[in-house]
Amino acid sequence: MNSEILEKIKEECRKLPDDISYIVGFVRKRGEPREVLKVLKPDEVDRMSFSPLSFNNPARIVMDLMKSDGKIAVIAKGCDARALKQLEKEEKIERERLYIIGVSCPGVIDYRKFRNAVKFRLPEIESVELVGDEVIVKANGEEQRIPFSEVIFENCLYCEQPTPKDYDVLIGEPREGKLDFSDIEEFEKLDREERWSYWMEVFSKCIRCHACRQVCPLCYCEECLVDPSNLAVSPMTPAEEKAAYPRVLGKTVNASDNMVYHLIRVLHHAGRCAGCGECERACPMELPLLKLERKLKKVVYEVFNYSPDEEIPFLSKLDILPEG
Amino acid sequence: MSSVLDEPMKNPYLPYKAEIVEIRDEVKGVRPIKTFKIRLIERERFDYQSGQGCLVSVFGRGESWFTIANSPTRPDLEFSVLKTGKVTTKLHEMEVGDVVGIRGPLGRGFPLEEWKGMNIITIGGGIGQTPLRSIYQYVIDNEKDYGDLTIVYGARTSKDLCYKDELFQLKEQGYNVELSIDNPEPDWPYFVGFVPDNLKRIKPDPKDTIAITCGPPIMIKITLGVLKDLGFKENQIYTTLERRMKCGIGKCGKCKLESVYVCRDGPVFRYDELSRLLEEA
Amino acid sequence: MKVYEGNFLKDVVAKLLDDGYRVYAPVKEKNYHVFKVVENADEVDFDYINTRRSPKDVTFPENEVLMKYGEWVEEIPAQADKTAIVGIRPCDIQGLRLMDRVFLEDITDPYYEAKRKNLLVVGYACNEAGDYCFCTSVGLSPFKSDYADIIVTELGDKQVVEIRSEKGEAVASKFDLSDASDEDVSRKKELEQKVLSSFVRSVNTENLKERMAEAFNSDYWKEVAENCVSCGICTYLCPTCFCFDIFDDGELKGVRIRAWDSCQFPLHTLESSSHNPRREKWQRLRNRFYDKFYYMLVRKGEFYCVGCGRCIAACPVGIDIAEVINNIPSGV
Repeated sequence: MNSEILEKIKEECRKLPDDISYIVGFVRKRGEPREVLKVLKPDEVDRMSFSPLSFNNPARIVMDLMKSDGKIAVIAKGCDARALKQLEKEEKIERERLYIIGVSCPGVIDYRKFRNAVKFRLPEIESVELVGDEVIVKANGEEQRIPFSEVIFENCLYCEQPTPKDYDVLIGEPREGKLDFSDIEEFEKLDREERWSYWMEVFSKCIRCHACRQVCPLCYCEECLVDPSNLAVSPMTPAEEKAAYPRVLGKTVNASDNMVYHLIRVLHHAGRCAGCGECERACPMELPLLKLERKLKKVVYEVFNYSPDEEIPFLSKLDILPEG
Repeated sequence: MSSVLDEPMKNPYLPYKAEIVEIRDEVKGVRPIKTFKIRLIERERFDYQSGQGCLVSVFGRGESWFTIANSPTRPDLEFSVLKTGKVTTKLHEMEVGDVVGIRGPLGRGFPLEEWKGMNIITIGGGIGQTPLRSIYQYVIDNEKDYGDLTIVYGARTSKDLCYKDELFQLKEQGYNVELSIDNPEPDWPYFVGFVPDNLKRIKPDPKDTIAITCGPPIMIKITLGVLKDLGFKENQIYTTLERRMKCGIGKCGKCKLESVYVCRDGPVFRYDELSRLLEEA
Repeated sequence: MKVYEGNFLKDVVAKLLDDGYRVYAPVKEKNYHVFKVVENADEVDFDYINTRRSPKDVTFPENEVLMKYGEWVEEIPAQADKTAIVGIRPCDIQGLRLMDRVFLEDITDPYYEAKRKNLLVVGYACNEAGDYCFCTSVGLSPFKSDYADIIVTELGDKQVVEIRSEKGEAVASKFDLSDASDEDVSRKKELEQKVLSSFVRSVNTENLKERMAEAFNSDYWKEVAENCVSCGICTYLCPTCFCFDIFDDGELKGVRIRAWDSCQFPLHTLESSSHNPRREKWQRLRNRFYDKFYYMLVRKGEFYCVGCGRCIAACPVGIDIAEVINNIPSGV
C-alpha cells in the first residue's frame, strides 16, 4: 500500500545523513490527486507524499541541482534510478553527492486513463491507494475501486526493472521485471505500408511543442540538432559560425518534418533511454513515442547485446567490441 | 489575382525592393561594421524620423532590425551593420548594386519637434552611435531650431570608432565633438577612459538640455547615473532599446518588454517611461 | 430566442458544407477532441467539454506562408474564403476576440484579417464545467457570448439558437426555427444554474494587478518554476498565446513562414550578441503569468486568460496557472 510506502519514505528521510541539503521527492498537487516533484529541505519531510500518481521522473531536477553545492537525497522508482545511472555514466551527476532512496515500483497510473475512469471531480479526491490489484479512490466519504490493470501506464507492463538497481536504501520488497518486447514484436508483424501509414498518421498530429524533448532526462543538450533556433551562442561565437549553423530542420510542422524531428531525437537515445515514459506522458497529442524508444531498445539489445543497465555507456562499448 | 496582401503599403510583411548604392567600411577586424547606403526602387518617398528602424530583408536568410543611421534631411537610407549572425554575414558579403528588402519605417522615433530650442547632447558607445548620428545630422541641418550640440562618443580602441571621418570633420568645423577610447594608444590626442568618465569631465549643464544615450547596456546604465548626478531629470534623458525583433509591427511578441513592444512603442524611450516598468529594461 | 427541434449544430455543418464553406468542427481523435476541417457532418462529435488544442489555428495557423521567394518575392498565397467554425465554446470565442485585438488593432495584420473576416462563428454553450475550467473567474460566462454569430444551447431534445449578428441571421434563416416557449426559456435558465454550480476551480482576481506588482521580485517565481521543463505545451494549447517567429525556409528559393513561438523556449529572446533578457526559466515562466494577468491588462485592459484550463490539464509537471495566481505571496 502506498500510504505505507510513504511512511517508510518519510522515516528514511528523517534519518538522512547530516550532509544532505535537499530532498527531491513528491508532494501532492493542490486541487488534484496527482503528485508533483518538489525540492524539499530536510526539515520539510512532513510535506511529502507518494502514490501511484507520483509518476514524474526526478532525474532532471537532480541534474539541475548538481550545479548547486551540497548532497541530494532523491526518491527513485526503478526507471528513475536508471535515468540517474545513465546521467552518472555521462558525467552529469556525481553519484557520491547523491543518496538514493529507492522504491520498488508496482507501476504507475496513467493519469489520463485515471481521469476518465474516476467518477469524482478531481479536487474532491482525498486519496488514491493501490491495494493489491485495485486502486481505491476516496472522496466525499465514498470510495471507488478501479482495477489497476485499467489505469496502469502501459509502459509499466513491460518494465524490465521495477526495483532500482542502484540505491542507498530500498523501500518495499524487490520486484522482478522481465525483458518483454511482445508489443514491439506485434507491431513488427505489420507490413511496411501499414507501418508507414501508421507513423505518418501519428506524426501528422505532432505540434512540435518540444515537450517530449524537454521532459526527457537524457535530452539535456544545450544545442539541439532538430531545433533551428536552439543555438547556444556566446559573445565569442564568430558571425560565420552562427551563419553557417547547420539547419537539419526548419520550423515547418508537417508529418514528414515531424518524423525527422522524432526519429533523430530517438536515435540519440540508443542504449540510453531509461524507459520512464515521460515523453509519452507529456505529449499533449498523445503520440505513442515509447514505441519508437522501445523499438530502438530492442535493436540495441538484439544487434549489440547491450542493455542500458550496463556500467559502460553504449557508444564506449561499441568502441571496444571485438572485430567481427 | 491581386489582393491587399500583394501591396507593400497594405501588407506590412512585404518588403520594398531596394538597392545597395554605397558601402563604407567603418570598423575592420573580427567584429567588422559596414555602413550601407540603400536606395528604394519603385518608390521615391520614404518619410521617417530619426530613431526609427527598418527590417532589412535578405531572402533565404531572414530579416534583421537596424536603426536608420542617417537623418531624414539627407538622401537615401543608411544602416550600419555589425557582422554578427546569419543576415548580417550575408549583408557583409554583398556588393553595390545588390538588392535587399526594406520594411519600415518602424517604431517611434525621437521627438525632435518637441526638442526645438533645446541644447542637445548625444552620448554614444560603439555601434550605439547609429541613432545618435541621425540626431546630430538632423540638428546640424536645422541648426537655427536648436541650441548647442554636443557629441560625446567613445569606443574600445580608435579602430572601433564608427563614422570617424565625419566626426573629425565636424570637429574641424568647430562642432563640439568629444571622443574617447577605453585604453591609451600612441598619437591619440583625445580623452582616454570610458564614455561615462568622459561625460563626467565634460560636465554638461542640464538646463534646457536633452541627453540621448545609446550603447552597450552597461555603458547606458552608468551614463544614466552620471547624468542624474549632473542634475538631469529622467524626462530629459532618452535612449533606444534593443531586443530581438521579428515582425516589427507590434504583433509577434519577441521584443515584448512587459506591456511594451520595443519595435512598435519604441525603440525610443524616455527614461521615466522605462522606470515605471517592473523588469529592468 | 429561437429553438430548433433536433441537432442544429450538426445540421448547420451539413448546410455550410453544401454552401461551399470550409468548416472546422470538433472531431474525436483517440482520447480527445480537436477542431478539424471536416468534409462530412458525420465526422463531427459534439460530445465534449473542451478540445485538446484551442481552435486558434483557424485564424492563426501554426505555420503560415507569408510569401514564396526566389531572388525576390514570387508569390503570396491566396487566402481561403468562406470559413466557419461550428461548436466553439464561449471561452474559445473570447480567445478569438482577444486574438482579434492583437492582430487587428493598431497595425492590421492582413493575413489574419483575411481569414477572420470570412469566418462564421457558431458557438456552443457549455452544459457542464470540466475539472480544470475557471472561465467564470475571469469574467466570462460558460453559456453566453456576444461575440459569436450564433450561439447554441443543448436542451437534450432540442437546441436553443441565439442569433448574434447579421451574418448569423443569414445562416439561421435557412433553418426552420420556432420561437422559444416559456418552458424552453425556463429550462435554459435551470441549465445555466446547473452549469454555474458545476465549477470546482476558481482564480482570485481581486486586486490582482497590485498583488502582482508587489510580488514581481519575489522568490515565489523561482519556486513555481522549480520543475518547469520549458516546453511549449502551455503556450501552444493556449487560445490567447499569439507569439510567433518569422523564418525563411530555403536558401535560394523557398518560403518565408510565420510559425508559432513560445516565450517558454529558452532561446526565444536570445539576441545575436548572446545577450538573453530572459535567460532563466523562472523569468520565462513568470513572464507567462504576468503576460496573461498583468502586462496585457495594462496594454489591452483585460486579462489574456479565458479560463479554459488547457494549460493546467496538459502540463507534464503539474504547474497550475489558477493555483499559481491564487498563491501569489503578499507583503514581499
